[in-house]
Amino acid sequence: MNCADIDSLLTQIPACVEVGGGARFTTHCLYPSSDPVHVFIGKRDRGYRVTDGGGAWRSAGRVGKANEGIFHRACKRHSVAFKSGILLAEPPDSNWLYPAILAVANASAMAARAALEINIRSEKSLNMAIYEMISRHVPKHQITKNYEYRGRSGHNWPIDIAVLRSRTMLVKSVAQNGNSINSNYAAFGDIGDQPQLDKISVFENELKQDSAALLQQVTSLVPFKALEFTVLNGL
Amino acid sequence: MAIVHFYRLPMADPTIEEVDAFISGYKTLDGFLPEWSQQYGWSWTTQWSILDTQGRQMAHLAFSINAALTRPSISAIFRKNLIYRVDIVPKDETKPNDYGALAVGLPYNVTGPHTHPWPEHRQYVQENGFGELPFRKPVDIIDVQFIRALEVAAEDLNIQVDPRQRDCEPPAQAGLFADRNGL
Repeated sequence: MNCADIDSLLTQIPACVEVGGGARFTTHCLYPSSDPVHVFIGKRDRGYRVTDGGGAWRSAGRVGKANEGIFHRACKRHSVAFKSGILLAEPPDSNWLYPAILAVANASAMAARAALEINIRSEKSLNMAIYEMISRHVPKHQITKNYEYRGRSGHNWPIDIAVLRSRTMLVKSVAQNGNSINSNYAAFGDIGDQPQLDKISVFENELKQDSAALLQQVTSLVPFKALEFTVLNGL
Repeated sequence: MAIVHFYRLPMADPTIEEVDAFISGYKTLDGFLPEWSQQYGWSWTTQWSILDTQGRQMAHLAFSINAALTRPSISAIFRKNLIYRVDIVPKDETKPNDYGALAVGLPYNVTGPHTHPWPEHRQYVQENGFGELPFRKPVDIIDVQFIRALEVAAEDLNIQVDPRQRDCEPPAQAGLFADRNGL
């Protein structure tokens, strides 16, 4: 295989598209969703302005609450600026345009990835907190972590914590990101309603209204602060 | 040759000022270059201790070269943290510099041998911590011998190199079994 073949394969989709006020360039950097990072390039009186068009901020918002600290870290690493949800660089001439595009694209991908990882970490620590809270009221031999429960389809669904007493309580933590919402909805939807079964999705940070409405069709949504009351009520 | 005293090294990362002081202070290399070794058929590597005036080893130079012996590199490691690197790469190999290099007066493209120098990364490390030195500074190195890289590193890091220490090339037979990709 020669380089011309590879180059032509990689440029099948045009990377640069003219848009109002400049150009949109599709980079090889990826957001956690696997969407490519687009940078927007505009000509200024002196030099250029390169931005991510707020792509990282939107991506971070989809997986959790966007956190400015994450963006400031990405800015320091890639020597770019952050203003009103947008990562940007202002190269003084065309020589610095390519390094500026790389810097903005990588900073954008880095910030979005960091937001996702923080969200995953907070979900794991929420699971720990849930377990500790339940174990204050229920003997440990009646609590199982990483339980599996068979749904109506025959699929075994992973459940973060199960309390196995006369009634069974299935508990999953949930956070505002696509994977977490889907996981809760699919598992509790397939498990369905049963007389001796309580299904609880516990959240710490507020969920978006549409996500909450979706989950409430198949599970009881309980804020972590109210979990103790819910557990005691169910015993 | 100097006697090496073994001290319990501080575990915390050094401060920027400690790196500055280390670079400006008098230093020598310990004895002769230790034996080269090769792992998994890839790079050849060895480490050469750097001693201060009291014979304490606080840092080392990490020598590394690809199996085809075409890309020598020397990194300076101070208390387990990278503080400097010199890379000899082909004269026609061009890489874009990191965008942050603009603020420290380095060029937007770097062709051929280059260093990742400490003074230009001082602020960067202060803000981001140790780990990476992304900015490249071109250097004029005329061939692919380690002694050239060592000369540059010794000058930049203020290391006294004894004339008897200038024999620092990997063994001649090292490149015999490099694969055809030149790795």
